[in-house]
Parts: sequence; C-alpha cells; structure tokens
Amino acid sequence: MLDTVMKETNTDFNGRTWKPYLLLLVYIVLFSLSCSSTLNLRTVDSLYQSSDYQRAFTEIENLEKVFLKTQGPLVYALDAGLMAHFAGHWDESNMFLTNAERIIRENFTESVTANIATFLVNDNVRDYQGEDYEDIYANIFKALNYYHLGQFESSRVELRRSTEKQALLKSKYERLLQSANKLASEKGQPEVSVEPISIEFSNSALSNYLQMIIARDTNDYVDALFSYNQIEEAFSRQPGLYDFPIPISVMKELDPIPTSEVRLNTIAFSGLAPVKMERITHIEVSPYNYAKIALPVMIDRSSQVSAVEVRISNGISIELQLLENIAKIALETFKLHVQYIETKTWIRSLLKSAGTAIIDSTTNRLSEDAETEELSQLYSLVGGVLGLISRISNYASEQADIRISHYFPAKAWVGGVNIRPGIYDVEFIYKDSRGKIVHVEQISRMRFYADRPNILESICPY
Amino acid sequence: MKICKKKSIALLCILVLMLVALVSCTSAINVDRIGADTDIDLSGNWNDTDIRIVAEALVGDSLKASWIEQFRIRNGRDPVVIIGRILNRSSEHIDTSILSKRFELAFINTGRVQLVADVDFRETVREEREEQQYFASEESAKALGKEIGADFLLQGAVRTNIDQVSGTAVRTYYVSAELIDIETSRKVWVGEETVRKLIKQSKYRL
Repeated sequence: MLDTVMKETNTDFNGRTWKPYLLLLVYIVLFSLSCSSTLNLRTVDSLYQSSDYQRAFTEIENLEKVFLKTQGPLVYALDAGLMAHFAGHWDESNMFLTNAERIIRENFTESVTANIATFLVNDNVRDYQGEDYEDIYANIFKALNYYHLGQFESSRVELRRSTEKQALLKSKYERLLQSANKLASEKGQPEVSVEPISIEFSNSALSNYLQMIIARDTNDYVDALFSYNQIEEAFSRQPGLYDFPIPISVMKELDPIPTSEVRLNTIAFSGLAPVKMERITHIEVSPYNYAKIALPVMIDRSSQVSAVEVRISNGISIELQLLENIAKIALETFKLHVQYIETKTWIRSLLKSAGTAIIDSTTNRLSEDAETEELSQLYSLVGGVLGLISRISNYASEQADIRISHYFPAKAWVGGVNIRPGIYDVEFIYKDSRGKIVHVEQISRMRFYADRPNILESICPY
Repeated sequence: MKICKKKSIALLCILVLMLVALVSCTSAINVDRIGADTDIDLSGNWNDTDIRIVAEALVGDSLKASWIEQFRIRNGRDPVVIIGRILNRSSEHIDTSILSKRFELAFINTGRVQLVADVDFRETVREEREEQQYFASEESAKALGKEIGADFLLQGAVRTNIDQVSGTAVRTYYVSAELIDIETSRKVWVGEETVRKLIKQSKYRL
C-alpha cells in the first residue's frame, strides 16, 4: 500500500510538488486542535476513598472547567452524577445523570467532519459517546435516586428505560461488528473475530432486581413476577457474565411476607468499574519511520471485597450475595468496540507514516532534480526539517481515546430480610477474601415502613 | 488595477461589517406563539400533541358510551364519578394528571355527570371541613358526613412499547382508561387509544 502511495506521488510530481508539505501544515493545525491536557483526579479519589463523598462531589464541581476541556461534558456529568448520588444529593444526581443521558443520545449523531478527522488525527477529535454500560447504569442510579426521593413510579420509569437500552445492545453490537468487518475488508485487513461473550449482555439482573422489589412493594405483582423471571434469564442466558450462583435471597423475594413484617432489601456497591489506559506499540514502516499504534485498554480496578455482612440493631445479621459484576460487564461490552478502534487505529497510523514517507520521497526527488548544489542542500534541509516535524506530530497526535467515567462501582451485592416496621441502626461490613474488614458503613436510625418499598443502599470505595 | 484592488478590499470590508452587524442583531432567544393544535415533535418523546390526541379520543369515547344514560334510567339522577389515577407504566416521565384533568373538565362540562374530589384533594377538603367546626361561625361551618359517595371510579394507565434498531425506533403508547362501578366492581366502560411514532435519528450530521 505504501509503495502504491509513493508511486502515485512521484507520478504527480510535476506542478504539485508542495502538496505534501501543505497537507502536513493542515494536519498540524488539526492535531493542535485535538491536543488536550490531563485531568488530575487525585484529590477526588482520595476523598472518595475516605468516604467523604460530599467533599469529593464539591471537588468534582470545582474541576468542571478542566473536565469539560479534557474529558468533555459527558464524563463530567457522569462523574458528578455518581458522586452526587453517593453524597445523597438525589435531585442533583438526577440532574447530572439526565444531562449525561441527553448527551449520549445527542452524540449518537456524529459530526461528519469530526468523524473524518478521527481517521486523520485520533479518536479524541470527536465527541465522547459513552460506553454502553455507562448509559445503562446511569438509569439504574437515577432509579435509586427516585427511590430515595419517594417517587417510586419515576424510579420504575428509569428502570424500564434501562431495560429498553439493554434490549438495543444486541443489535448495536451486530451493527458494530459489521462496520468493523466492512472497514477491515475495504483496507485489506483480516476479518474481525469476536468472542461470543461480548454480544451476550442484553439483560441486567440488577436492573430487574430493583424493578421486582419496587413493583412488589407497590402491589404490582404481575410486573414483579416478570422481573423475577428476567433475573433468572439473565443468569441462565449470560453465563459468561453471571458466572456465580443466583443469590438465595432473590429466590425468596416473592414469597409471602408475614402481615406484621415488611421486607427490607439491602444493596451494597463495592469497588470501582474499570478505567481506560493507553497501550503503545511501534511498527517500522520505512527506515527511521515508525508507525505509533496507541490503543485504549480497559484496566480492571476490581473490588477487594469478597463478602458483605449486614447487621441490624434487632440482632439480625445477613450475608449479602453478589448479584452483578458491573466491572466484568464493562470489560466485556468494551471488547467489540476495541476491535473497531484497533482496525481504525492501524489504518490511521499507517497512513500517517505513509505521509512521512511521501515527504521523505518528495524531498529526495526535489534535491536530486535541483539545478544547483545550494538549492539541492536547501531542499534537503527544509525537507529534512519537515520530515522531522511530520514524525514528531505523527507520534504526538496518535493518542488513544481514554475518556471514560471514573466512579461507577465494580460490584453490586444484595440481600433481603423480613423485619417489623420501625426504626433501626444498620451496619454494612465489607470483608476481603481473608475475612479482614476493609470498610464499615453505619447507617443510624433508618425507618422501615409497612406500605412502601424499603431499600437500604451502601457504598464501599474499595 | 491598483484602484480596482482597493475597491475590492473596501467592498469586502463592508460585507464583513454587514455580516457582523447582522449576527449581533440576532437575539439568542426567539419566541413565536403557535396554535395549541399545531403538531411539533422535537425529541420524539411524549408531548402536548399526544396528550391532545389521546384526551380527545378517550374522553369523546367515554361520553359517547351508554353508561350515563343507563345510570340515569336506573337511578333517576346523574352519576357521580371520582377521577382516580392514570398510572404511568411507560419508559418516559409522563405527567398523567393532565389526562385526568381533561376527563374532569369534559365530564363537568356535559352537565350530565357529577364529580367528587379525587384522592389527592379529598384530604385537604376534609381537613378544611374539620377545622371549620372549630374556627368558623356555626351558621357558615359545613356539616360533617355529607360527602356524596361516588358511583364510578375512573382509572387508567399509559404503557409504551419500543422496537428499535440503531437510529430508528417505533415507539407505541397504549393509553387505557376504564370506569368501574364502585358498588359492583363492574366495568361499565373501557377505552384505549394508541399513538404510534416512527423516530429516526441520523447517524451523521455536518
């Protein structure tokens, strides 16, 4: 391919000699537009890890301008929305997450120019569309916000919306796979192979669990039963994502509750979902000319937590069980995007290196054809400098798109118990695989009601 | 040649100035009054047009049905209706109280149906009546136990179904309403209106 490009340039040499240099100038301008500084979340992370969610949320708000400049409005809305949720600002969290949902929807329609620029510069030049799991779990956290606000009907609306998005995933993955294969075949690359697990996720057990509880406690047994069946289906049809047993408490959720008691459901979130990092490799295209391949990879920040115990002040203690491995879903659903990104990155990087090769070749030709020795040396010098600039800008511009939200949890644990309505103190105890306590959250004077859902939520940053 | 060039530059400057003036004259917010029956769809979500279509169809259907006349023949008086809740079972945040109000308005305006305060307002009315017993004059305080018992309860639900592939979706709203005889739990009228929308979102924009 490179030979062909070079050959064509040599044929067109007369009259259009300076074209490669002009293209380089255009490219440098484009690249300078795509440059971005980095976002430092060390303070937010430290506050989050010390469970100071209020200050972590304030810190995110203070960083708004840096967020918008480096990561775009979607990542800001997701991070602020999640932290506002952990800090107990339900309305604000809903506002941010609704905004995030709107941006994801709007960014589905891509700018043609930005899309073309992704083939010339890097993927950062287009608006971040969000990962699939971010879109789905934004609705789940909105549902929890509405639950805390006592708006159960709105909570169910959010869960239905999440279900709709999950249903769309399968067809979306099939379309993405087709696009990657089409792109690969057009550029003479081998067809993309994807593990079947990546197109498996189309049903979230956590989403259905919440639907089941709220429907049950608002006397909609038909919907509650439907959601229960969907949980069973999520485990049986997606064994790669749900490679652990269905929680025992889930199977008891629709059992009759004694008249003097209410059902308390507990949800504990632990750890953090994966983030993206840049992985760089180099391929030699021609002498002193390397193609830089910068790809985003998802890094698991999985939870240390292996068990969660809930102690209630009436003496009852329950062990929560894992219902959803959000981190695994994030990693798996990203796999198919990786195939598309990889194909595109390879093509772009090779084209950039081909551009450098063209500059080198044009310089050589100009130098050879120069009428005087001085002119020949001048061409060599100018061409050499431009070739160097081209190499530097190629190297610097080839950046992986590592935009992603930072505070979705990694795991969701659930449990349920029947208790008498009233006021209780509740303690969530998080333990690692050796039984060592890694985090404790105490929730004082919680009232559990007879005529409404009773969901108690806890978060462990580890 | 030089004069011609100067003229061109001057013309270009004027054009640029005119463009700047035009842009600066444009207000960031532009408001136009439009008719209530003008259909405008922006996002594809439930909007005023859907409310109008559904309310007209369901209210009209409920008034055309024979339940009012049958009740009057049997009881010699107008039926008393309480407007219950229209549940939102859709995947959108829909204020269903607008539909309830449309029913209320239409029933009262017929002059053949009497309405009593619904659940949300009944408590306020009762509190006011109880307070009148202590704070209002004897002759103006309203008596307790004189509420009119409703004969029928109107309730309903909004449900949605969505079929979507990539940027194309068919969203269908099923809005149902029913009148239930409170004494016998018999349904005297059931109506449903369907709104179907084809929503397309382009993959690319300029």
